[in-house]
Amino acid sequence: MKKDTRKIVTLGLLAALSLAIYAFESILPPVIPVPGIKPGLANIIILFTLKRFGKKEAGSVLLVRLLLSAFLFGNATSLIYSAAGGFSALLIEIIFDKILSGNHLCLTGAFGGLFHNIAQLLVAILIMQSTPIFFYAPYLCISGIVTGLFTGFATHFLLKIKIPET
Amino acid sequence: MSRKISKKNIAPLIMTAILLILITVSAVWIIYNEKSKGETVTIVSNGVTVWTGDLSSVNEELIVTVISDPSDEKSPYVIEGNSPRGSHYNVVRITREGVSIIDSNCANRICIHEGITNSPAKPIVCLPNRLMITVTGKAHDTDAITY
Repeated sequence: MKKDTRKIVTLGLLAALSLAIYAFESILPPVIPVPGIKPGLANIIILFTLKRFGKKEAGSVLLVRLLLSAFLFGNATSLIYSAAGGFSALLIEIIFDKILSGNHLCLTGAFGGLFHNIAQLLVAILIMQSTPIFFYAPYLCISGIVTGLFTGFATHFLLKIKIPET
Repeated sequence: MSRKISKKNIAPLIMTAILLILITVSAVWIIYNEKSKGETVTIVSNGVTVWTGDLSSVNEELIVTVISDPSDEKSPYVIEGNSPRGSHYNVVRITREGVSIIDSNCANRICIHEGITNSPAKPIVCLPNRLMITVTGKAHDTDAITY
């Protein structure tokens, strides 16, 4: 019982941290003026939760962050984009982490970032009903891989931190 | 060649290779299409083509405002000049050099930061307002690659 409470509190803190990073990121001016290109630092927390706690926990933290960010700063459309991106990234990260048996976290992160952007691009094509958006694919491909690599590296070092037991 | 490629190493190797190939292909595609030039401007709002015109037919500059207010029954539509109104609008500036968005009421304003484009490979998109501007077709004064 006590252990459960601690876990819930930790997951809640992780969700809050992820939301805070997401909020901070959204007020930064766009470095590269292409829609969809973002550092994606909030995904560090999701990948960390996946590694430290597991699939279900990572999914719940992601869901909480998505809903709260949509209520606080976004709207229904931005929720569709971020949900598609977030859950595809998580799914790919679960699969690749299994294939790589938990090693090479930067590769897992890179593929997560890549599929995050691919999913968002497909959603954009569906919502905008316009295929020329596909011209953004190469930009999103490179940015997804680069930011994903960083996510993986950051998570790798974050996992070395031990959460105090008391 | 003393290091054996074991089953344990093969997955990360393949994945790294896939990533490198994807990055290379993307980079080559971007560099290859960077200089391509288009001629016909098409403005699509909410899946409806609301404006088309040629870059060369513009005299000095042409400014139009795309309105896509969901509460406005006529929307999406285009009005001449810089006349923002409603909940969703983008002001588009068209010159002989290209097309750009100069004002918008979207939240992130990425569309304004996207700058001027005259290339089929670089459309301008405003995701919050569901606006998309493409420049397609062969330009007369260039020998660059077109579609």
